[in-house]
Amino acid sequence: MTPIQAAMIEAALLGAVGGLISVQVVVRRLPFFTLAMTHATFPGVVLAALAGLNLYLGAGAFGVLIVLGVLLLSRRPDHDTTTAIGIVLSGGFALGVVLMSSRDGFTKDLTAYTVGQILTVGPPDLIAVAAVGLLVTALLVVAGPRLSFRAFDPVGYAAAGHRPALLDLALLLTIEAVIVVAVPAVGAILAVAVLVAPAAIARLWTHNIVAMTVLAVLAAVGCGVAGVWISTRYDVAAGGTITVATGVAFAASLLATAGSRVNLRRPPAPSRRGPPPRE
Amino acid sequence: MNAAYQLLIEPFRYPFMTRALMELLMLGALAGTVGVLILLRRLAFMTDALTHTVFPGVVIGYLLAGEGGIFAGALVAGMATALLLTALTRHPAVSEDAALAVLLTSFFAVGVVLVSRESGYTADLTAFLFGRILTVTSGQLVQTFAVAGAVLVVLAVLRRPLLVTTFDRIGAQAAGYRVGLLDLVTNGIVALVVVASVRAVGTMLVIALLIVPAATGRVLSDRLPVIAVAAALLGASAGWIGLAVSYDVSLHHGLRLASGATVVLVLIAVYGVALGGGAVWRQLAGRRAAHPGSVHEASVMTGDVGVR
Repeated sequence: MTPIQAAMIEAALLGAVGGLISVQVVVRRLPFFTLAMTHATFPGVVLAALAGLNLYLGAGAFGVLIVLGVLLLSRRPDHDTTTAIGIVLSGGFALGVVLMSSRDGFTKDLTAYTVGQILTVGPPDLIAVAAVGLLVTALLVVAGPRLSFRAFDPVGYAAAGHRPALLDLALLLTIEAVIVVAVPAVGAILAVAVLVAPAAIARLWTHNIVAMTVLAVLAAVGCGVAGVWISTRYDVAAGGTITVATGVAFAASLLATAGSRVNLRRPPAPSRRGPPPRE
Repeated sequence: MNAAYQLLIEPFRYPFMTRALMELLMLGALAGTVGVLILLRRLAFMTDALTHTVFPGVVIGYLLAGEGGIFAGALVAGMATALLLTALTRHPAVSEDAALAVLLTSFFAVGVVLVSRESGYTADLTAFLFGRILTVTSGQLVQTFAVAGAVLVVLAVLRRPLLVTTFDRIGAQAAGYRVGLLDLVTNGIVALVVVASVRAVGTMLVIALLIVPAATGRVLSDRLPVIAVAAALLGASAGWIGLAVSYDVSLHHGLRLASGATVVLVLIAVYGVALGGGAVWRQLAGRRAAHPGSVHEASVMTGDVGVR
């Protein structure tokens, strides 16, 4: 298997996994949380690298701690989550940078962790992504309907006797697992593109959650493979190219669906600004 | 006393350290003040998106016009973000957070792709991401001073309409304030501060300067003037301490610490101390206020209301 083939397979697998989970991220309105998690996972990656541990184990263990912390914080009724997330995000990232800067070869490694190096992935990375893919699939098969119920009617979900905290924990841990396997390929900063953009693209074409998931997976796999191909053809950073490809796909979908049936079926969203008061 | 002098004053004998200190003091105070606006309007995610989206502007500006092009490039990218974001969130099928995430990563990735075409790619990328506080020039200091002055004047002049819009949007509209325009001004101010800080502390760490001091001020008090002053002081002093610590550790303990990131960790540490102190204070106050009916008052007095 040549590095480019491995990178292609990694991009396709990661696209499929990211596409599957991204629908949950978007319907639960977790993009900012995901962004914070990607940044906060970064010191875990650095610590694992410094201690010579397995990257996935180190980052995964650190990530679990962060998930638990965020869950605890978000249970406080008086908490403004965006500020708390912003603090976790910048703190985690700075910690990672300080840890890295104490070491030789600082800038090169830092680049690998922030924007990824998909051309260096090997069979262990592919196996890790595939394993997380199974985890995501299992979650969606076992708890898919419940996740939708919880997303669209949280009060009803609790009233029906389910335990939202347990389901949230499962979802957040799964998201963290996807982040951990995405970091070597696309880096800590761009991982959020894998976890949000596919569903944002699919959301423009359909309202059906199953169709959305299928579309998201297709879009993500396509963008991943196209990104790797373009990056090797023109010798540019692969993680960046994959992300730009998803951005272009989003923009194209936006233009293609402008004024289409899907958007007209709903009344326009109430403008937050509202019409100016009549004199 | 001597140790404190050694740590906090001595490093700044060198002109390059003095310039770095002045830049960080100005940026810290400015970002702390503007941070209060971000905190009140809950714009943390938008701010983070801006810090990422100015990155391609920084790269393009640098490629086209060298060091001098960075400011202009970042400014253009910041304004483009504000416009695109406003347009995107009007789309019925695009939620604001998804739009922000897609914009943020796509813009950032364009920057990465462009940088990766250069030789010496990794060093450049690091400089753009984390800034070069130790190579600040006098020209940059003047630029920062001008931006800080302009932003503070706008904040002072528009203080009332901005506050009214923040706390009672519909009321402000009814009272005849141009709410949409005020939103644009708010986003513009945040973008300007991000742009001004980019070269010194880098795109990644601006967010901490903008969010953490104000959040700490909020823990300490619930009176707006107190929060604003505390945030400005915290931002400036964390810049000083962080710079001094990173210098001291790098020089005397053989452990190189990135200055920008050290400043952020100092900010986070102060925030943690404030949170812990607040919790202890609340416990004591709660015990004192044992009779019924005063629990709510006690929590208000110790700043345990809403935003944290």
